[in-house]
Amino acid sequence: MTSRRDFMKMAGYGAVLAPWAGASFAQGSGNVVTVTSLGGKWEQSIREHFVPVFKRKTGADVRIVLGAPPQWVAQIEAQPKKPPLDAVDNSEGLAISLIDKGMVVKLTPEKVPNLVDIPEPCRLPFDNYGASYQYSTSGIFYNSEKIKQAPASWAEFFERAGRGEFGKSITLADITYAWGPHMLWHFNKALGGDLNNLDPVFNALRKIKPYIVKFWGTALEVERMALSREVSIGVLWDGRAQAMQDTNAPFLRFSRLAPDSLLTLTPAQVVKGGNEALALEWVNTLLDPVPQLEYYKMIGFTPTNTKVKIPDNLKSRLPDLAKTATPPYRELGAAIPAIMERWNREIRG
Amino acid sequence: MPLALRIYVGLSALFLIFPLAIVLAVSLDPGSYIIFPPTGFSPKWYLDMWHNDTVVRAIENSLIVGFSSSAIAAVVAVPAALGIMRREGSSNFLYAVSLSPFTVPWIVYGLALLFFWSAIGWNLSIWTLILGHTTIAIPYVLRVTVAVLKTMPPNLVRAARSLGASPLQAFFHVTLPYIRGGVLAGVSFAFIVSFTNIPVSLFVTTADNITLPIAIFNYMINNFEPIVAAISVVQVALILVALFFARKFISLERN
Amino acid sequence: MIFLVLGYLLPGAILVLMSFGNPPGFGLEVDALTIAKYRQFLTSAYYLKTLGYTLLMGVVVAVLTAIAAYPVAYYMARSRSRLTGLYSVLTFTPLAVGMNMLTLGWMVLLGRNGFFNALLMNTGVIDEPLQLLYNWGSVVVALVHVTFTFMVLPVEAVLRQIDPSLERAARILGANRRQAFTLVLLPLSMEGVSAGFLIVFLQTCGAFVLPLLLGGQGFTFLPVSVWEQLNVSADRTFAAMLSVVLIVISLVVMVVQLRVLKQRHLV
Repeated sequence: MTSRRDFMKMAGYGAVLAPWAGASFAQGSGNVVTVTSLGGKWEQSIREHFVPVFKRKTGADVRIVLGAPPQWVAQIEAQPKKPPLDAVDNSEGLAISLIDKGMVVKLTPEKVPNLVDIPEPCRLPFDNYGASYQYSTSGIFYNSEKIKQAPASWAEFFERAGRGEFGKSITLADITYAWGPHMLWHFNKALGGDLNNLDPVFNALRKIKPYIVKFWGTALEVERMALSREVSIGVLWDGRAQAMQDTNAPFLRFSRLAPDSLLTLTPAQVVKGGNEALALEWVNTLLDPVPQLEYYKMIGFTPTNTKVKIPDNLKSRLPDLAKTATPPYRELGAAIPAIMERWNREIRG
Repeated sequence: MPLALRIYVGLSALFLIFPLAIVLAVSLDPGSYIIFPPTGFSPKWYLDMWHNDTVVRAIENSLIVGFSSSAIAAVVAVPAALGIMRREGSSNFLYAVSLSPFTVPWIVYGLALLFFWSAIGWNLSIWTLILGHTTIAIPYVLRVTVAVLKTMPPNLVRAARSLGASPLQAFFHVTLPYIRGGVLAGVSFAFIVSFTNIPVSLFVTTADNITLPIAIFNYMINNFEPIVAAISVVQVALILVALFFARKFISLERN
Repeated sequence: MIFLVLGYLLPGAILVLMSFGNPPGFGLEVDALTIAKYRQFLTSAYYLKTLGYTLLMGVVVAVLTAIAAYPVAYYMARSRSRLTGLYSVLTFTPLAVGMNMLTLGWMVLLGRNGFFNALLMNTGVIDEPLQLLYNWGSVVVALVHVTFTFMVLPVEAVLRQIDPSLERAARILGANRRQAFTLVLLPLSMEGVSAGFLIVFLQTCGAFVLPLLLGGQGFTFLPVSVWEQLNVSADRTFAAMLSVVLIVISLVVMVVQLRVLKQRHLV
């Protein structure tokens, strides 16, 4: 009769002691580097393409922490003296914040030889405190069965959408999407404004609002909406749109609009106070052309190393780096709270 | 039982399981994107997924954390419930305090948990995760146990004591069987809240203590593939099996 | 009881945690305390509206769930069918499936090309698909769906303990079925309903994934704002302030509910 409580107690103690015992084996040795990765295919690519190259060169083990930049940066900031991560694949805004807090190490060609083959737009915004191993550009995807003549420029897109030409079947990134503010900045620039004058983009958004099915917060949402034909036109990144097109939705097309596309980067950074030597070598591996090519074939985001040999049949998809724009990250970061306020007032309400 | 009631219960059952049915259908689709209706039929993903180290480790961790945190929560909450009942009912301050984890949004708690561990200098591990989960689990067990305790006639315990039972015996032989159903309900909540929890685990995840919903979440935010559906189905199956056995165990006891 | 002490220690740890989360800053040293963020909140019509929506949503979902779940709990408590065990495990499925997958399910059901719209259009009831997703309604339904079990189980647990002969006695004394229910059973089971109500209300007020994924444009909820601040603005102080507001309000609601019930019992 009493055994239920006892059972629970025993189960509790047993379960509690087991990981305790297991944990004692896991405690760090010197020849391990802790790195980060997004989940799913990204993790698969890291494990299959990059880790073997790294292991061959250094003989060290790689531990991968899954998640996303906000979580990783929070962990780094929480334990600055003994960071739980040695290298981090960061997002632009958070990379800048780590740089400004002095928590990352500067990359140099001596320590990271592959750095010289990385084009400047992929590392200069971070003053070489981080270098991106892939990049992606924005554009519109559209259902070619419904929309025969796609817009050629951002201005044209907003104008036609605002008139109601596409009907209520549009989706744009929400301000809560990690790159929402960046996209907003980019639209604003294409419509003739700048950070001090956000009226062009907010006017356009107000006009387009009745035709928006939903502002998407994650790439998953917009892909769902596109594939289920809930929307017929929207804004997305090249790699993702092209992947959709290739696998399951030949009716979807992607195109980059004039005058330029928003560029997004994944700056890989080395955390101060961690296993810096191995982390630098890891970043070097991320920038190596050989695994980068495999990564591109699996994931579809453009690799940065200029020495990567892109297969001919895919060359037409490559973006032209000259026709891309990156926001001034620090100023944008400072302006974001005000942008959110304005969004909440004018678009949400 | 009136027929109308039975129909209603049947309909509500359908309502509850329909998403599972859809996820199941999607998980059997060998295509590479999630689309409904599915394009084909194949158990491919269920076989593939065991090759993924992260998924396997996540399943282990989730089971460990789920069982531990709900067990510890029960061990802590049941006596607490008794203590609260003893102090004339439920409007006292301590009761509100012990229910307070309810009111903290999980995502904030998760972040605060991270800073807490770094403040006291503990490394992140599965143990730090379990403690966090236990804390959010306690109010569930507590609230339901108190609710059931309230309906218990006070004379039952008094009768047992007057027959010579010690307080401990009175507890085990009178109180515990009475509240068993409620405690089980609370523990089930605790288990499921822990097993499916993302916000609290999110910031304290390391390479070793990753749990299943976090693994799925990380997979999902970047890959819209049927394998995620398959892993979700496995998650559901694990939860339901665990709960089913817990219930069986209880009703065996009762008879 | 030694365990009692433990019971108060763990929640105590949370309070310590919260002090790290308190405005103005994260980090181990608390810098100059300001109430600037609170002022920002209280003077903002947008955030006050958000708070209002959040609480309203909590009440609406809790009430609807209570009404929807009570008959099921009754059935489970009173029925002698073997299926009740299976059913109670079934009630956990919405929770167990995970938020993203649930959203997929709702899209299939409520989407423009989804089940309901297809049904209505095929039978000629409507010509254009209805916008069933991405509004208040879809969020409410999804939240009821996911918190259903939190209402059913406490109510069932309490109902089981109520002696069926009480109802029978009432019937013998001349009450019809409905009166037996409302005057005898319902009041006695209120404790279970209130336990469920509190859990559902608090869960709803703290929910952010489902409103984020299924909600529309015209409104937002406080937890979603917290997420926004953490994810986009990286303004942790503001997020912490919003959370404290949520916590305080929830605590107040909780204490009020407990008080009210105590009085009810005395009557």
